[in-house]
Amino acid sequence: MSPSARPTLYGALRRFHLRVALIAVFTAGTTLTALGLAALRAHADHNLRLVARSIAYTVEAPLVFRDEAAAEETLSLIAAKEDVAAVTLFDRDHQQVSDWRRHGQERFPALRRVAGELLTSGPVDQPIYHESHHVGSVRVAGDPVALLHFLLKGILALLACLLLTSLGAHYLSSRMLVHIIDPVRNLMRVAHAVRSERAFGQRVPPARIEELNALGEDFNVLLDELEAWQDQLQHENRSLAHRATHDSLTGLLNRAAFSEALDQAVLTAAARGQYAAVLYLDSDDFKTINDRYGHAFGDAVLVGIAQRIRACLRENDQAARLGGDEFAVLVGPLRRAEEAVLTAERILVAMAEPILLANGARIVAPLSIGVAVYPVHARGGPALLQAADAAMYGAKRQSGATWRSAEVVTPG
Amino acid sequence: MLAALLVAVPLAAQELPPAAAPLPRAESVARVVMGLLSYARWPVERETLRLCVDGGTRYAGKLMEGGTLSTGRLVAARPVDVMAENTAPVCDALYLGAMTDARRQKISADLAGRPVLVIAEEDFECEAGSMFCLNIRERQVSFRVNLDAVGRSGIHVHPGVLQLGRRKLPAA
Repeated sequence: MSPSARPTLYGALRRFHLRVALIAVFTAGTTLTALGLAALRAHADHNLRLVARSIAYTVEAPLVFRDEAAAEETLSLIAAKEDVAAVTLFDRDHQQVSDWRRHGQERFPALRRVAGELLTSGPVDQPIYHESHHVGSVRVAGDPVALLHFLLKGILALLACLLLTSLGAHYLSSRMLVHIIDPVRNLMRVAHAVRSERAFGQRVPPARIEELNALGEDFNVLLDELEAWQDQLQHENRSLAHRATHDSLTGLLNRAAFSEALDQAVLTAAARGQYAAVLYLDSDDFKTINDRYGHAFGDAVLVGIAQRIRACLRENDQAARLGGDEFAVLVGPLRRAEEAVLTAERILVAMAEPILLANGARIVAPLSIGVAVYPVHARGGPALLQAADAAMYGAKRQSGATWRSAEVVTPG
Repeated sequence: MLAALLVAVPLAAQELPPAAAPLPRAESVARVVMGLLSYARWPVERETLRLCVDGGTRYAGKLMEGGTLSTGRLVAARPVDVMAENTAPVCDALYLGAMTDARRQKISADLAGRPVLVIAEEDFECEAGSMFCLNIRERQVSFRVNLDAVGRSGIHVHPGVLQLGRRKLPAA
């Protein structure tokens, strides 16, 4: 089905309203007109009989005296004022004595005949008595013009009412529909925005109609829940992502993330023709601390070491805990290879201060540092790390609490 | 019976015979006079209505036969001479011919205030004594009414008849 073939809610409701209103008015109008016509017809019949009786009384004497002029005068005098088309006076032997016809009856004779047959129950015959002797009769035919006028006016009024009603229904339904259509459209708009733009912050405004308002409120509550759910999901995603790349104890990068960052730094440095350095750090007597004070104490020392290292880094440098008491620092793009050594010395100085622990103990945890510089000592990330590792062992073997540079790779 | 009439009248009316030939004048006169009598009520009603016909009338031939009113009352007609006798005690109605001043005076003297219905054959003015004055023409007999005379006589006449008699006659 094409979209244009689907009626809108507004159009459907409006058409429905209009149809109901028109049917109601049409039914009421036709019923009233028919009832009115029936009543009027009965009234007209009654009136016709009354006129016939009145004529009968009045022409009694003229008929007895066979005064045709008087009879005719009487007929015209009475009939002209009533809704009467023709009056005929007969004597006792059914001979016509007098006849009166309304002027202007010549127009539309067929229409008049049909209307007369449909709207009146035919001419009325009224016998005329003089002292209970039958002296003649009068036949009175009604004039359907009055009924025709009524019928015509009824139909015109019906049409006018239909027109007025359709206008009124249109206006009222438009006014009423605003209260239905606007909330529905708001609901549609918000639902669409949520679906296509993930705009969970949108809310449906309150509606006037109870059910629509309840629907909108429920929808808003649903949106609240969706928004909270979405926030939580995002938070968990971030948390998971953080956990995947960071060491849970110290908050430094883990080995995998550090390897990635190292590879990236090597690529950047290669592209810019700069240096990048890796420091490999290892606690000199962490094993002793662990054995003496316990693992919880050891963890606290590790956290303290991590804080010291982080405090000594520049903005672009990154620190990682590779595992156990082994740490690594990636020193960002360097213009000179010697700058890496400055960082290592800063860390050594910092570590000479004892670490203050929560239980008040002060622990000095010296580090041995191996320094490897790209592209001096190695050209790849893993190789660079390996070279720094080897240099760290050299420093440890030498005395501990010092740094040592990696061996220069001899080309060839 | 009324229903039968209502049915019978339209049936009969549909086959109208050609208009009847005008009646002879004497018959027309008799018919009008009988009609007038049928519409009149006397202070004291008798079983038989006494109609007196004066000698000098021209169209009283049929009237002299008497007859029955539509009310069923019998009408007994007899000739009188108004100049010779007092008609008041013996007549309920009096049909007069041509009038003279002498006859007028006699009639006024005899009948003033008495319940006698006076019908004049030829009294166009219809002012002295006569209550109803006929106007006899070729095709029709009509009449005029002297309301004063009717009122004085004590005879009650149906208003429809008075109405008919008060009409202005169409120019002949």
